[in-house]
Amino acid sequence: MKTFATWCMALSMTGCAGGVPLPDPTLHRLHLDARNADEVMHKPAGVAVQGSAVRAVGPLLDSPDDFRVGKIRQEGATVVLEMIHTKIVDAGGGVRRNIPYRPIAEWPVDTLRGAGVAEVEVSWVALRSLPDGASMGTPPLRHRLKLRQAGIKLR
Amino acid sequence: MRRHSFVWSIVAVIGSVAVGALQAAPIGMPVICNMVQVGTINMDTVGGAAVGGFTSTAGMPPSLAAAAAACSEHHFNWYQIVTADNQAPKDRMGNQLVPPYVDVPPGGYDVAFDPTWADDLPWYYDEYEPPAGTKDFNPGFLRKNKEKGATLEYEDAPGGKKGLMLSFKTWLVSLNANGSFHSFHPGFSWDLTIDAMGKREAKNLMALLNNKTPVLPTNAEYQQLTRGFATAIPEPATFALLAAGLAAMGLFARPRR
Repeated sequence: MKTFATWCMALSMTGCAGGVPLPDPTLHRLHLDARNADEVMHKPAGVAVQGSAVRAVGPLLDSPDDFRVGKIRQEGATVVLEMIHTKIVDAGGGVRRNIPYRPIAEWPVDTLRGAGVAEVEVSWVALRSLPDGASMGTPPLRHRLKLRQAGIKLR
Repeated sequence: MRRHSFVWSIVAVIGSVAVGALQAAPIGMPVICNMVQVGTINMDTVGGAAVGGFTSTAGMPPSLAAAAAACSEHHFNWYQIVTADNQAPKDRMGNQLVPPYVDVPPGGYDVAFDPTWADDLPWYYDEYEPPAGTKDFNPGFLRKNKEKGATLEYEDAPGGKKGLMLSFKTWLVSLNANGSFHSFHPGFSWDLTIDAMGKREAKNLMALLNNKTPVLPTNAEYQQLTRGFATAIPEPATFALLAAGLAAMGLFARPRR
C-alpha cells in the first residue's frame, strides 16, 4: 500500500501539478452517542465541504470494525481515494455490546487547493481483513465532490 | 357532507393516536436514593441503536460522584442481560451462551464472533484496562470514558445475521470502589431485530418500573452476576436487602380479591 506522497514521488504523477504533494487525509471516527444519534445512524455516507474541510463520511461500522486508506492517487485535478474497511457482521461475526461509528477521512480545503485539486472521488470497499483481505463482494460506496460546485474557490 | 367530514376527522384523530402509540418514544425515569432524587435515566431508540444515559442532579454543580455519594456508593455502571437471542454466540471460553446471559461475558465473546476484549466483571462497561498492548482492547468501552460530566452514557447497537431477534434488560447499578456490586437502580427493557433486508431496528423501549418502583432482575437474571465473574459478589447486606425487596414486590404484586 502506497500513500499518495509516495506515488507522487515515485511516478511523478500529475497529482503534483499543484506543486505540493497531497498528504493522506486525516482519519477519525464519529462514535454514536445521544447527541449525534441521528447523524451517525441515519445520515447517508458521502463527501461534502464542512467548515474548512472536505470530509468523506463512510458507511456505518461496528466497534470491532477497522478502516484505513487503501489507495490514493491524483489524476489531473482529481484525487481518487479508496478507503478499505472491515464489516464484521457481513463476515459471519456479530456484536452485542457495540458503539457503532462513522469512519471519516478529511483534508483541509486549503491543502486540496494547494495541491491543485478540484475534484474528490472517494470509495469505501469492504474487505474480510485489513489491509489486504479478500473482498466481501459487496459493491463499494462511491461518492464524488466538485469543489467549485461546493462553493470552494479554486486557485 | 358535514357529517362525513366529522367522521373522517374522528378517524384521522384515532389514526394519529394509534400511529403515535406505535412509534418509539423516549423514556425517562427518576433515580432515587434515601427518598431523594439524585438524577434521571433518559433513553431513546434511534434506528438500530438504544442511546441515552443517567444524568446526575446531585451536587452543585451536579456530578456523578455526588449522586453516588448521596446513595452511599462509589460509582455507577450498567448491568445488561440478554433475555432472548435467536443467534446466541459463545463466550470467550467457547461455552454456548443461553439467555439469560450477561452482556458482556467474562473476557468478552468468542473471538470469532467479536474479538473485542472485556474485563472479568459483569458490568456493561469495563471497570479496568487490560495490560498495555492487549489486542482488541477498545477504550471506548471503559466506564471512565463513558462518564461525560454529570452523565454516565449508554449506547448499544447490536448486530448479527439477518433474522436476528434480541431482547435486553438493562439496569443502572451502583458499585463499590473495587467494582463489586452495591445495588440496583431503575432500568429499561428493549428489543433489537434485523429484518430480511439487513435493516436493524431497536424498539419496544420500556422502563422497568412497576408503580414507580424499579423492577429488579429475576432470580435467574440476578444469578448471572456471579457466573464466571470475579469480585462482583454482592455484599451479604445488599443481598438480604435485595431479597427483602423482591419479597415485598411479590406481596404487592398479588392480585387483590
